[in-house]
Amino acid sequence: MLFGTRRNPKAPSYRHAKRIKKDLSGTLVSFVAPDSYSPFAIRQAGDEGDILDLASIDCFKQELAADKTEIPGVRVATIYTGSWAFRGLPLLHGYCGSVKCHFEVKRVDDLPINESLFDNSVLAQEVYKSLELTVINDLHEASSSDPFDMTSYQWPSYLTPINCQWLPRGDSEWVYFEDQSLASGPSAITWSTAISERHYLICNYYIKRSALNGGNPYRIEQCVSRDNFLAFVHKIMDSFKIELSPSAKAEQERVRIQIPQQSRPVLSCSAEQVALAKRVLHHYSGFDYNEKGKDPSKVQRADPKDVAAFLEERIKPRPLPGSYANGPALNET
Amino acid sequence: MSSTRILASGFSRYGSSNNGRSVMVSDQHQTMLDGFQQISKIPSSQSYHALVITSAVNSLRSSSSPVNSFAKNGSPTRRCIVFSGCEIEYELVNYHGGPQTDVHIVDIRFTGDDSQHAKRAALWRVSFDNASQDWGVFKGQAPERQLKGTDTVAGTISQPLEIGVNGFCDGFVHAAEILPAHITRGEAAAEDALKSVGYQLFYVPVEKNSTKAGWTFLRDMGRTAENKSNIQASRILAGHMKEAHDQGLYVEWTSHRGGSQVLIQAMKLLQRHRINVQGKQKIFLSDHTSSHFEADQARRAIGMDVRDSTWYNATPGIAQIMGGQSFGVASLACSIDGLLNHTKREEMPGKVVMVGGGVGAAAVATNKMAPVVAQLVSSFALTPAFAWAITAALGLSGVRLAASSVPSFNNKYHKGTKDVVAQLANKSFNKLVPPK
Repeated sequence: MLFGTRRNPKAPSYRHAKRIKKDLSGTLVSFVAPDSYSPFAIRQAGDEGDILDLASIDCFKQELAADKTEIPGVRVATIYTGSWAFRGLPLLHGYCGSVKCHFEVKRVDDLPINESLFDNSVLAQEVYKSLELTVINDLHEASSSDPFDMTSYQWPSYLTPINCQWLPRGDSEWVYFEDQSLASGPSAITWSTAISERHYLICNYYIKRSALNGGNPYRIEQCVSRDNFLAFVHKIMDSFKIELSPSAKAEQERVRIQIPQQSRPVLSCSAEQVALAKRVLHHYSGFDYNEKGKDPSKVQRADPKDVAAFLEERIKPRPLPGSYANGPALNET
Repeated sequence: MSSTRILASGFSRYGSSNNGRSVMVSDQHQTMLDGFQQISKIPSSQSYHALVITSAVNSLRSSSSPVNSFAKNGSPTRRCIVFSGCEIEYELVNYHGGPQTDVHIVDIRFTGDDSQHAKRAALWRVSFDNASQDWGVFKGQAPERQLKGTDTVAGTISQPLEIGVNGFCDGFVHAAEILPAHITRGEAAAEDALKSVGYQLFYVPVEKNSTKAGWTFLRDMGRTAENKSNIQASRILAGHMKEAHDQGLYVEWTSHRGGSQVLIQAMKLLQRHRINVQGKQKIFLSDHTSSHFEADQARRAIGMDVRDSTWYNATPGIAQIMGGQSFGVASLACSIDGLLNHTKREEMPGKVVMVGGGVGAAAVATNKMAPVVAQLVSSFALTPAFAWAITAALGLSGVRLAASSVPSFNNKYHKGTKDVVAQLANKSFNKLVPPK
């Protein structure tokens, strides 16, 4: 592809991509990514150190929940951030969106003594716990169009987790899921895998798309396609190599012997979550958007049926290449 | 005395009439306003509309017409006051022929839903989300009803409020992402500081028409706030400027691209009301599309802080040269205006050296400069020779002009006029010599 278009913007070139290596107390993590480039920020991302001591408490900070309180027993350290711009037709469109990534190591302090993150169901549980406290609980006060309506609702900002599946990448098993933003803000894709008994690696990608008449998460779907953004994320993930340290490897073996048939529980959102999400997404479908030929100073929302149909389609599972057959739902195990 | 007044049928007095003018409302509006009065006491974002409307009605009691009001066509007494959350149409009624007038509220229109959906200019708080490394994570928050200090920035002399006014961009989210670089003038350390405290965005809705978008400056070229939404936006902005002035807040206004039009027009509205902000507010224009000479006169007229040596920055693209009413003259006119009208006598010689020195590097003057020179000669009573010499310094290379007119190149703040050319050069250099 020589040029991108508004619908399918061009991903950053891989020509000068290089392998980025991180040493996490003997566990070597590496992946290939192009140089970070952000069209707006003055400071470029990606200046984190190459070495992280998993045992050191100073390197980790308390993870914060959606309400800015500390989550007990979970600590987190950033190992890499990156930011890449996507471009449409040169000169005409320029910037059409970006992918930002935030790779972290999470450390679970309060795990029961006989449990290990190398056990898939334990990992899934921890990932879900963290997700619930940070993203699912990210609520905002609903605004009403009627000035006399004083009912106070709490609306979710994201619908997550959707399209959850287990994927093998570079000798490790990853739990993968996406989210759909409902009000504004980027949509995220999250990959997590265990790197020790108490630590797991979590790779968050934030996809942000920009178009002249796509000011909200519903309308942007009609302007800019997700495909190229997803392909770029998968390209980075396909290049992942994780070489566990000897002690972590021994632990992984121990769990493998203990639980020969690992289950792969999948995470999913509830029916109530989806029902509420349809309403929220519809409410914001008029945000920063003009319908052709209508008064630009008035709010024009989409048809609720279209929004509902879009979300129904969005939450359908779409297995990625190489994904494992779906396991039981997490809450059923 | 007041009890003997004949009230227009169906109107009754609203609220206490001890201070300022009396506000008269119809029964229907009375019920509505009483309802809002109750709602506004509940602290919640749901009371946004209620707070807007109660404070708007009370602002009508002041003795002069508010800065964000304007006279309706064809009637000397019918006025309209504009906020981001509502519009109130009112009639000034004088019963006794004296200076005191009463306010009759004719209509109250809610626009809260429109401003909450970014269809109408409004002030928003923008913060930086560390997880997604992203500016402007808007999650259903309502726009700010009133300009005030935030939890992180008090609006004092050491911590002025940073407020950005956007011009052409993709939309709200894009604007929130572009402006930090301009507010911080392209300084990395300042950007990090801004990330921790956030800023406020005065979002002016952009025209959502891909053929017109980005080139509307050509249509509006040289005119100040011609299009309807810009006029409305500048009235709302003027209201916020006045609010800042009333609270004695220190504010730095930064405009990007066409936002300069709105900013200049708002200052002119304040000028019309003879407001002096006493050096507590200042402006910065980045890639402005309207004359900064006009901006300079307006900011001096309302007493803004003019001590900063740089207060505008632009890569001279088509927008700046044409839209800025011949950009070159504007910068020159500013220094001459500053010299002649705003410099103390004893500082004169030094300033003359500075103006002259900047011009000293003069290239060869071309015939194209003739009208510019004529304008200078007539507006500032300079000798033609001097005018020629200074205009000659304004030679602009064609590449720079063309390159910086491309919207995709000027999202970022350019520290020098050569940045755009450098960006182009870097691009081709990277293709030839790959970075290791």
